[in-house]
Amino acid sequence: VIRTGALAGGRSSPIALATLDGAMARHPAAHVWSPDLARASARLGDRLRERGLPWPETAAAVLTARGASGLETGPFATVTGVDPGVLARLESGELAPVEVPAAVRRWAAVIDWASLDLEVDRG
Amino acid sequence: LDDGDTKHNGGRARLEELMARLADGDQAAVIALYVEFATPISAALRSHLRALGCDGIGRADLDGLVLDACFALADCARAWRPDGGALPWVWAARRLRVLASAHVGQYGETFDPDRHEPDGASPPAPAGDDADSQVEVLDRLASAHPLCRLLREALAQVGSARDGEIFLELQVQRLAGDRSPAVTVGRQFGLSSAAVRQVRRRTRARLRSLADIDDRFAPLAALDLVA
Repeated sequence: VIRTGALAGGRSSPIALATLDGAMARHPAAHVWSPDLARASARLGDRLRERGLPWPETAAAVLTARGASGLETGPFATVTGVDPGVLARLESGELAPVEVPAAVRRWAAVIDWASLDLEVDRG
Repeated sequence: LDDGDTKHNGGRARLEELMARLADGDQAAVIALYVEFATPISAALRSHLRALGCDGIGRADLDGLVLDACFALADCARAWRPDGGALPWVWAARRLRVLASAHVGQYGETFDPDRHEPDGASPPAPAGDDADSQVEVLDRLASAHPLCRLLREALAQVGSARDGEIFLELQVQRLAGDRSPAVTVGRQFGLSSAAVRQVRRRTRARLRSLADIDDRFAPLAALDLVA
């Protein structure tokens, strides 16, 4: 792919777009860090499993969703429309994956909810 | 960190809030700490890694370490005091150092001759005073191996005992994988590396000459040490 006049100053010599793309990919600004929430959830799940929670992966996934939101329990329950009592039971690992409300799953879609025998509700 | 920073800039007030939540046992705050403060925590970890000689770390590995650090900070959150002044990852530096050390323990860097120049590398520590000298080792080997006996005799003819010792020690260090044997041996004998190399050149040339002119020492010419 050839792009012409792409540089400042109106240089007209053709520039290979692939070359530009390569340079852009190498530029430090291209490497924006983003949290690996799936990994974080798995790590948290390992810790909760050691505590003997009935549903540690579910609790970890819900806690990760809330942690990524930055919110405390009350505001998160309000934002997601989930009953605070249900949220507390989910986070303490008392409820099975099927009990996780769609609103919570949507909040952290990067988490592999499918591995918890749930399909991510994208509706 | 300033109190006026936004959440995603990692403000001090926000950090104190998260640490308080961690102290109260809010597990979600661990994730929030990871999401919002990964940058300064990773910087602290990089510093520990550099101090341990690990200059490069993959992004995925560093990310895993940051997560470990967040959990470590959660575990000690109750002991952290916001009025103490130190940021949690500075206050818990020893915990982070343990994590970095555990990572370095599994870390191996491929040898790169361009980066590990002999003069830039740290040579192994020289042997202690109670170690046998290489001439003494050669003396013991001489009783069982004719070639060692011949080398011992030849070294005695071509130079001083000290030169012979330097010559042998240099070879031992080189075979042991020391990338800067002249530096190591120089420290051992109080000489510059250039002087050590000069001793090696002079001794080897004399040994080669001796092997050429005296048939009795001719077998020495086959030794890498002399060739």
